Amino acid sequence: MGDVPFRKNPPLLVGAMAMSVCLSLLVRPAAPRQSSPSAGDRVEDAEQREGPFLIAGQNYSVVLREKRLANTNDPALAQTLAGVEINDDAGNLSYQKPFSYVVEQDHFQQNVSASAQLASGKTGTGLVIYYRKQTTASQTSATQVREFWQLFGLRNGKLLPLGKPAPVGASADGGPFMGVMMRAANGTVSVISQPDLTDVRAWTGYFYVFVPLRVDWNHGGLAQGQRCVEMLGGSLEETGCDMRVEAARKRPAEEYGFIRLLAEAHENPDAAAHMVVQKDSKVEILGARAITNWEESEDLIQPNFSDVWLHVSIDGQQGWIHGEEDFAAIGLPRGNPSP
Amino acid sequence: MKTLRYLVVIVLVIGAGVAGWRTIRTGRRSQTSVPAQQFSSQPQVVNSQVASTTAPAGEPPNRLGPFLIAGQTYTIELQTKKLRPGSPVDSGDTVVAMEIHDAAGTVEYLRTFPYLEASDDDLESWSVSAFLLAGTNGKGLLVSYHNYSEPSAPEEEPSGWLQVFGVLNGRLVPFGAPLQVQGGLMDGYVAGDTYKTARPLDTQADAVEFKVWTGHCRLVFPVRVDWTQGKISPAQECPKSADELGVGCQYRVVPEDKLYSSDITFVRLWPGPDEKSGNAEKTVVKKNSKVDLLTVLVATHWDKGNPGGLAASSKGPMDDAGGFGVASAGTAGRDLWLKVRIDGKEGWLHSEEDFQALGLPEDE
Repeated sequence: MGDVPFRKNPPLLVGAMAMSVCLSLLVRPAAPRQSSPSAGDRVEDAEQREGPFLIAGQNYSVVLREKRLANTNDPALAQTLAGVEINDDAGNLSYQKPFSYVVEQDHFQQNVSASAQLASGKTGTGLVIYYRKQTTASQTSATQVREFWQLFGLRNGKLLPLGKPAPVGASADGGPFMGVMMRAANGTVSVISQPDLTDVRAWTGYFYVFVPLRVDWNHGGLAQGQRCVEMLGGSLEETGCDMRVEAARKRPAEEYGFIRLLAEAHENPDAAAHMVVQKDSKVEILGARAITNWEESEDLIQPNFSDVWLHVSIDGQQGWIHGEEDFAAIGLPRGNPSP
Repeated sequence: MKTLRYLVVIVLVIGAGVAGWRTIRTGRRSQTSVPAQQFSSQPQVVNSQVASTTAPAGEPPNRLGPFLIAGQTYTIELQTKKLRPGSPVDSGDTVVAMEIHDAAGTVEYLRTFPYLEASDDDLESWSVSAFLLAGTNGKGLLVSYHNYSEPSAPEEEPSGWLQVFGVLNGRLVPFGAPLQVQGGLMDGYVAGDTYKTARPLDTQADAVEFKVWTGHCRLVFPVRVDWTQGKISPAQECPKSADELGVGCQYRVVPEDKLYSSDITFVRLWPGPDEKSGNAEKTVVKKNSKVDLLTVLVATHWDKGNPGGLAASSKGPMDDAGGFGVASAGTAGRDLWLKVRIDGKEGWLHSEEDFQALGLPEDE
């Protein structure tokens, strides 16, 4: 394994916090579209303030502007986000982002909840806004939840979104180099910057993983916390990195669960051991491994996971499992992150 | 007739000793208690205590038979040599020549084998055994040859050569070249010095069944013996191109004595021998589950070899041989599908992980 080493972070958990305000998230700053005039009549404005957050000696407040529908039959889609603002103590607008929303029949097309949290480390202090977008498929009525983040740090004295994490070793867009080590001819090693290491608690579809990020709050730097490569067939290939896991197992309804346990986090039909998970089986979740790709759209960033594996111990036998069926077999069916 | 019976008993005793010796030497799991002469892959150790009608005093008996075929009596004479001549420890003999004689002593068939004196590090020997092949439409000889060498890796199922002889125009002739097979004779058809055919195929041919190692089980391979034309061929025609059930033939499976024996596991059973046949059903296998191996689907090969015998340029004693068995890797249909019944539930499985879960044997 070619894991890029990373330091254990100070306990900065940028996570999904319970959110009381429901916001609508669409990233175009377009005017609201309403399916009927009568629906528009029922849309009410609401506002929630979070903070103040003390960043570099300046207090900031986050204003979450929302829209609410009265008398709707679908409480889950009765409100949504219309905009986010960050203001300083003097009331000056530091950041603003409008969100469009659509009213369909008697509910919003989607519901976004958001929360803001202060994050700090030895490089300074910043702000993290977590977004949670909930939509309902019209045909299946199945609910889908997606998560997004914004990390704000100081660049040239201004509080700005830091954008997508730069690849390990690369310069963040407009920010400093992140944790690059330089070796001089005389063997001296110097570190150009030593960012904070923080985690984003992100939903994989089955459980949470803690995705490490390197951040320099006072210089506006954001980079991936780790990158893992492996020598395969004579060339280096991207492979999953180990991450901490938070999983809430559900009690299986079936008498037996069936898993294919592999010694390594690689698919190999010749080496998969079949195990039956029974109701009294002792299941321990030891960790996860996945390839994380960060995407950015309109200031919002989101980790996408591929090649997701869980390191487990079943009745004392350790190994790796992957795939929807095997995750479900140990009580982790596909689902949405909890509110 | 009594003399004949005594000779048969002698041959059986020798064969049983050989099989037991090899089992100990190779550590091979004994799938069946194959009696007598089947592919005894050790030196042709013969009991010098047993009287022989042909061997000089103090030499081992080297005669197989007699075999009564089409009113004629045939015997097989084996010329042997000590693997370690002069050694105080008897490490056995090796066959250097095999002759089939008629009652008048006329040599009807001859095959020779190379002799290499064994050293402390290497040993190579040849053994020959024979059965009367008894069918509904005819009788003949089933001769098997085996080469044993040391050092050698243990095999789940040893390889050897089979050759069928029958009477054509009043003479005993080979019905083709020796055929190499990893597998061999099946217990159920052995009765004394006779190997019985499985069934008549028509009025002139019988099916003779042999076991063939697939890598995880032993399939039953039927060979057509045509007594009138003096030919042998596969008794089953197999699809050469892919159809909805894949390439290959379906064969019966020899039951395995011992399968999965741990507490609990599962296998994935498909409704047909194709992953596209439907969803795999995960089926629990417990220590006390009743598991029946029903059918395999796999591509096989048949090479008739050179029925004319060894060419002048041949270097090895079996250079004229053909063979049959599971098709080599990379062949279409090489993927082995096995139909099983587990506690009454039937389905097909085919991957290594399922074979291992079921506890099927495999090559080391």
